[in-house]
Amino acid sequence: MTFVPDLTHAASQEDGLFYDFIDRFDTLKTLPDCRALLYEIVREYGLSNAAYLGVNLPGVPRGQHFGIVTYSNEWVTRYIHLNYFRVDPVIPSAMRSLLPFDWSNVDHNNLELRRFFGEASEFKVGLQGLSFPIRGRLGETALFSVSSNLKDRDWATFRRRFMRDFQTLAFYFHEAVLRTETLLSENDIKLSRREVECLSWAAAGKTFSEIATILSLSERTVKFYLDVARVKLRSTNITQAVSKAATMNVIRPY
Amino acid sequence: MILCINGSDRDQHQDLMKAMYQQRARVFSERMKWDVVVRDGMEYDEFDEQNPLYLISVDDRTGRLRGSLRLLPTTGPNMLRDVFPQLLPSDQIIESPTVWESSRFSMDVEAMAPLPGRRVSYVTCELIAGITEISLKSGISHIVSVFDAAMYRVLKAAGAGPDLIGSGRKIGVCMTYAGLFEMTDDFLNAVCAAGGITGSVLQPQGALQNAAA
Repeated sequence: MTFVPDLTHAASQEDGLFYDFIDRFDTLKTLPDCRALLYEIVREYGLSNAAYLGVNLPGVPRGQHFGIVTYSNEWVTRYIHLNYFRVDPVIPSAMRSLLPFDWSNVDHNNLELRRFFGEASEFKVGLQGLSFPIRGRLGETALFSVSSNLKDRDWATFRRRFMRDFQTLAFYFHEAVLRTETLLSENDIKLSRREVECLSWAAAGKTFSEIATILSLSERTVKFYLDVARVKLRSTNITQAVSKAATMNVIRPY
Repeated sequence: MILCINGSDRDQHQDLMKAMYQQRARVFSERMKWDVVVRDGMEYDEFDEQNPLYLISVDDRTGRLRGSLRLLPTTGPNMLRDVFPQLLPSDQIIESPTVWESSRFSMDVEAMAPLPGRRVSYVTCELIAGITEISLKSGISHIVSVFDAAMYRVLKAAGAGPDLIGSGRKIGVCMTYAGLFEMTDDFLNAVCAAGGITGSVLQPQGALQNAAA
């Protein structure tokens, strides 16, 4: 049973919109589904753009970013070509933060940055922006950003009204990306020896505490290994993880 | 005044961080007899490595540490899931992007004494008001926390009584509970009234600007 917070805070006319999106996450099966949903979030909330950036995602090599963005292809090409990761102050600042990070808090005061933000605005990225740092259960991090061309006062109102919506949508989006199969081909799934052992005993019908006894581990550690394996196997529960591991021949029968 | 410091920025606040770790050693190891690891007179654990957000109460004039706590999102590693799961009913998992965990709520004994005519100390109310202000600005709907019976009485006296989840367990010398606080304007007003606080407790500059602006 997962705790579901009371979300009755949202302004009543937008409630429907928010809950529609929440319901949709379970139906996302592929990365193109995720991308399509991102465009819909932009449209329905009246944003300029939205962007998802995964940094230490399981299965993605260290130092390699994984992104889904609604920015124009021209901007993305230019950004990569000119290596703007090196210049863009939003990503490192937001990554250090735990709280939602408003883009207005970065320093615009040197020439290079002024040019960067000038170009971003030419490519219609949006003048105002908010980035939500995401902390995943395996310690992975990601950033979900929304941007807008609202004037300062309207932006402040917009933020107050939708902060909780985006805080939630950001995390669900991250989870959906992790669940999609295409991010990680099954050949790339690397389970550790302990994870394989725990999965194998779970497949043999042993409980957490029995597995703990068999492997001389604490029950908490067993749960941890199984949970890590579950996420690596893109499964929503241990049973599904076990059956998936079995079909991939990664666990051995006891 | 409450300072907000991201764990990743701790090197810019070395003296304050050291004072906080030392105070935590006094509170959790010496006073509450929790089974915590103290090194060189300082208490810190693996959750301090997870880039938490620290809320630190300092004296407005001297800048000296009065009390502190740390916040972690429940979507990542957190104490209730990884250290205190026995406090929750067996199948309960708290994992939500709008529910954050407060832990290591601590202050020295002197800061626990209420001012005349008050039932709760100023620093207690200031820290709780700080969490609430940040939550309201950042889209955090609830705070979950683990506390002992004495703290539970203090929280109720501060108008900040939580909903208890699960049943209490004895940890160290104290009965310990997990509770859920809903972050609302009413909650903030009650806490401020109990502590005699007017206006924002947060430092105008710094980490909070990220969310406030």
